[in-house]
Amino acid sequence: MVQQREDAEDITQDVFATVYKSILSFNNQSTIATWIYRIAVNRSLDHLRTVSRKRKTGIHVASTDELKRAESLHDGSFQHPGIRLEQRENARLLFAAISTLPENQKTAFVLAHVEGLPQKDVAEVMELSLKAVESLLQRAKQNLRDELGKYYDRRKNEKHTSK
Amino acid sequence: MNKENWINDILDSTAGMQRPTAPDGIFEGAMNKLPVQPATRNLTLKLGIAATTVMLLLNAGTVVHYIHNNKKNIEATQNPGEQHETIISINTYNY
Repeated sequence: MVQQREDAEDITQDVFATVYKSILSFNNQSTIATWIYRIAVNRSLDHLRTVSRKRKTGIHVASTDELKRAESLHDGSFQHPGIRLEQRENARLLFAAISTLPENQKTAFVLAHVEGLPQKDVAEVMELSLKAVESLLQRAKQNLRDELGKYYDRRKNEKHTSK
Repeated sequence: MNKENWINDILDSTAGMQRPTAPDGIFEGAMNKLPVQPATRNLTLKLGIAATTVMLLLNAGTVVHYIHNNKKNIEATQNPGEQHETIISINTYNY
């Protein structure tokens, strides 16, 4: 979700510290994996909110085009251990597009399509109904299509004007 | 490549990605070894039962000890009475 290795390492450390501190409050209502996923998602969202706040206060350069900005943030630094080499460029664009999604759509999409969790588990992690998760995933896919479509058109126009 | 195919390719780029998988039940196994609340409750209950038993035994012991001691006291208070009467009879000897 955070897409930067250093951030992911910090969050992982934080998640395991939280797990260690609150393991006795774990009430066995879900599996421990789901519980840890929930902590990790919440920590990641907290981190993204902090980054977003900093950006709004002018620490990062603001851009009108969300995908272009997201892509520039990940350009060259995109790393994902599970992505096959031939898919790297496409995955970089996909992750850039994912970062433009609203929080709940982003969480649902990452858990289902990047982490590969079944929708039932996604619903448990997000404490939502299965229907709500299905709806979130549908909207996330539609938004990604729209965002990538706009990016495709712009790139095509840029190529035309450069000729 | 047309736009729709390009978008589909991008959306499918996570297909076949490698994900770390933990062996099933490893977390639950570790959790079962941890002291959890029911175990604490059992321990409290056992301690309670033990404490109650000790208290009852002490109480019964005190009652038995008291009865035993009280018997001795009754005997002791009856015999000096008799001796006292004897002494009185000696003191009232008339010349």
